[in-house]
Amino acid sequence: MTASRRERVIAAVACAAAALLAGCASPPGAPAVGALEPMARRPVFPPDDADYAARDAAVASLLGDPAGASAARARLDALDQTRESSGEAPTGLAPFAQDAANAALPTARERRKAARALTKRSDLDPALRARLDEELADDPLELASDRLEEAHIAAFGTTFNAIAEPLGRSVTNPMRALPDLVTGILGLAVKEHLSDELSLQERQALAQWKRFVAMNPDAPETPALRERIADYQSGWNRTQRDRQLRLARHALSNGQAGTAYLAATRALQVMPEDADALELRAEAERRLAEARAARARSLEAGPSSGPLDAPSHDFAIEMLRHGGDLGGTARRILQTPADARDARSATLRDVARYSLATADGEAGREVEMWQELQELAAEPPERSSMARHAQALVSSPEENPERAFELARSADTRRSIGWLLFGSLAEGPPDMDLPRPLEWLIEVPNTLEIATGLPNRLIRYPWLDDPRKGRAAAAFGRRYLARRPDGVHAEEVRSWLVDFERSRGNYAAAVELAQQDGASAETLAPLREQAAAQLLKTAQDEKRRDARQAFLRHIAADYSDTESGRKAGNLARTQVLEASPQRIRISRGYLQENPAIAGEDALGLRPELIDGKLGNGELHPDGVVLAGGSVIEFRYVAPGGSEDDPPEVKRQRVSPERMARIVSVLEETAERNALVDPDATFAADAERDRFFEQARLGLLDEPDLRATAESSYAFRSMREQYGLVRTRESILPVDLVLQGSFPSLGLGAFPRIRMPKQTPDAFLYK
Amino acid sequence: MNAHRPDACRLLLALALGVLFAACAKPVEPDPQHKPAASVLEVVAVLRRHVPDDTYRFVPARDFTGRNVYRSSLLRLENIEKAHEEALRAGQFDDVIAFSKARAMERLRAFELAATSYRRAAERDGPLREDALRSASICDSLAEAARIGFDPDRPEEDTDAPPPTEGEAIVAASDQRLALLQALLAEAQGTHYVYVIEEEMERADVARAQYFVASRRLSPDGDVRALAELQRVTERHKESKNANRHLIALADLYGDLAREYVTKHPPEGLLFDPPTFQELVDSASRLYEAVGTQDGTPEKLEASQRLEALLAFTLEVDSDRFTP
Repeated sequence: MTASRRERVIAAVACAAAALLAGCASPPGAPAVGALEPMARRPVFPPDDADYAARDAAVASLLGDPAGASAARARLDALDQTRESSGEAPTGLAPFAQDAANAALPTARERRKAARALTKRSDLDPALRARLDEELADDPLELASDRLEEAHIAAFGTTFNAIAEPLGRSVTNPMRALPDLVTGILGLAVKEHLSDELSLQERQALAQWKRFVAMNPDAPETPALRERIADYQSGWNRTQRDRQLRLARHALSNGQAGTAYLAATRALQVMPEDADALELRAEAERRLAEARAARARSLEAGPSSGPLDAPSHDFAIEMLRHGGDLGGTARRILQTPADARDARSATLRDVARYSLATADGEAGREVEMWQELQELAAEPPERSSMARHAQALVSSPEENPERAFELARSADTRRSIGWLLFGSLAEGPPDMDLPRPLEWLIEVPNTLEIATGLPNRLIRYPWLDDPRKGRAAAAFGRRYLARRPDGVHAEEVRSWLVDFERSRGNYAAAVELAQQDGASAETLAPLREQAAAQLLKTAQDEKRRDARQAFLRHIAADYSDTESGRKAGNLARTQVLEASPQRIRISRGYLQENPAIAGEDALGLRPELIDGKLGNGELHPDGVVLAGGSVIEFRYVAPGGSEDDPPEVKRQRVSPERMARIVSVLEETAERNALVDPDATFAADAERDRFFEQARLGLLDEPDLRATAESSYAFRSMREQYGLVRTRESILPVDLVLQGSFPSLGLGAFPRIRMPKQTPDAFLYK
Repeated sequence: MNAHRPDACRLLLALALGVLFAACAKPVEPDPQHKPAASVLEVVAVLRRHVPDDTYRFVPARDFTGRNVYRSSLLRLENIEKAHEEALRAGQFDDVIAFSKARAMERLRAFELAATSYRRAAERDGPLREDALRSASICDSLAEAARIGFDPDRPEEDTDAPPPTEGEAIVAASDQRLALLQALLAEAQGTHYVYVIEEEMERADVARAQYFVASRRLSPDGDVRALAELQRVTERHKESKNANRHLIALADLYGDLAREYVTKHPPEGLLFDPPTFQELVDSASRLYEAVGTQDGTPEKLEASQRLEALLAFTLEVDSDRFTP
């Protein structure tokens, strides 16, 4: 019992002490003192022998004196040996001196050979090694060889995967093994048929060989390479010709003789005298000439097109006269009995029908006009001259956008139903540059999967996202509204467009259309809310602050009755209050990961601000921001103590000298990290680099206030970028794939050769 | 010898059949779709339908051959005149043909010829006389306006007063031209001439801008002035059928300025200012994108390809000097 009381006393004292300590500890938030320690002043060190030797190596390199540079390097080696023998660490300068000596060598080949030898040294700085490796990799012959290897892997991998995949799937579904294998082999054959003679990687190799020959015309490899270049160049020419011929044939089959002519001509530019290209061009020319002749004939005067008889003359006057009774005259003509033997009378009636439609259109009787024109267009051209004019009007998407609108909608519906019923074969087999029946035959093995996939497609149908759907109809609908804002179909078209724009999330356009349609305030309110939210997101995604500000102001003014409109107004005000010329951020994690930046040689940050203890003040995960000029913005964990809350911001101006040190160390660190660790990317940012350049030169007195001078680059730690564990690409060239198929309810496991990734410059070869 | 007789018979028979087939074969019927116009009335009816068209906002209509309907109508009328010259010599149809030709010509900017043709139509004392005289007067005014000021596409003429070649004079002449057209616009309300006059006003604005674009290198603020003039055109003619084209022209100028900037200040040099270059590229890109997102217009393709070309050009600029 006594012991128990004693324990209670101890516990009470402990609690009181804890409460006292908690009460005395500083609350989180910005520290009362500044974030930075006084700038460290280094004493001036007198240069030693190693420094002089390094200087001599640099001088010799700049003067193009490899012997002198090597001599300096030898001195450094000797100094390092002496240091080692006395138990001191080597200077580490010798490899750099050797690199400088290599740079003074006269030819690229010698420099490359020396660099390769240098990489054999064991005392290389990792960053120097990475840089040398990069230089060595930038060898045209090496690059060409790599690209050719990739081409071979791609060719082999395509064949292997085409066979391995169906075999792997057949484990659980042996019935499908044969059709899948046949499909795979057929697909392979088609791919081979459609593929270019020279692959992209082979063309990259060709470009590298050309580069090598241009740089080394007298190299021993050059003569053999020239032969190879000629061979590959022929292949590339044939590839280009084949592409153009394919285009020309396709154009001819679609009645586009002009395109076919141009394509065949381009093929001839690559391979003059090519028989196929000549033949195709001749055919295209013949068709073009035919079309020209037909067009010319339509302009000629026919034998009966001479003087008009009196009724025709009067009708013509009525047509041309201002305020003439076009419709009335046309009706009177049509009411008179027709004389089948009199050609002039037939022509007059023909023209009267056309003119009646014109009069109906001018009187706003849109439906009657198009009905009359459609009937006239259906007349055989031998009997009615006006039929072709009526047909031109009816079929013109410009003149008759309502019809085009309806046709486009029907096409969308047909496409959707076609996909539902026939899946990937809804629009027929893909173009394989083969006769159409053969293309259908190749697709036969897929029909089973298409048939069994119907339930799957039925389930997916409601969420089917077809980017083409509605776009053509919307364009024609808008065209119709532009021509006839009060037309017979205007309300229907506008209503469809409102739904269409809403369905694709373009609420701003939907609001505009609904307003034109005279929608009530109640109907508009939710739409306006969505539109404002849409615009606000667009504004927030805008990179340039001037455009962002203009956007926000526009939303605040036009959508002041919405929540997002008010938010936009607040954001616009905040942006003005917190505006700074620069927004280059260094996260807390990055500072912790790279102590040199926070250290006394750069930022000089008080260590307790990144020690993880809130009580002594702690930087927010956002870290610090170089805010333009010599101003640094420190972001602290807010007094609430939660890192999820917005930070408490304090700004501090630093000396130009400190700012120069900060950016120098920051840039050096980022570049070194990028060299040593391939995942530590240091992305290009012109505005950031320009700011750093000015900071180093001490030119930050007058910050550049232009929006295009602002950088919002963020230096983030590896953990912030990749999380705790970084994913690594397997070193094996093969993936093991476990694949389930919902349509066929099958399961398969098979190896798949990983295709080589295209190089970043591959788009220049497409 | 006898053995050869049947062969000869067969040959003769084949020849005879060949000749018979050739004689019986129908000549290839020309496509009726492209037959010549059946009557002047056909041409007039088609033309009449398109007289009230708003050619300022919408692309002029095309006929069944794909030609501009005003041009094809004019060609057909001229061919009819030529082909039936004898029959038409009496002049009883002069008013109809001359009036129709004038209606077509005024849409092809041949205002002087149109006025002459209208006067010819007015020579006959008929129902068209009054309209023809009124239209002739408007075409005279349009022709007069078209002769004022700088217009790079105007054919060279021997005139006492050569067109102005200096900035302020160009602006003054353009203002004068616009004032004349503005006055004409009020007079032409309710007629198709409103659209013709709006087209002419647009043309005057474009001509003025073209002068400043062409001469921008001759003055220190030439680039800024050229940009301002092209912006003025885009602002004033948002409703025009050429609105997208005006935007492309403005984007092209920004693109040209970006290229010239790189030539003047190589990116690797100390005088290259990344924000300036960025502003030029941004401005061009935004304009191209604005046009490139408009479905159903040929300018969409043009703007998209030009944007691609501009971005390809920026690849030549070091990434530490320009980051797209």
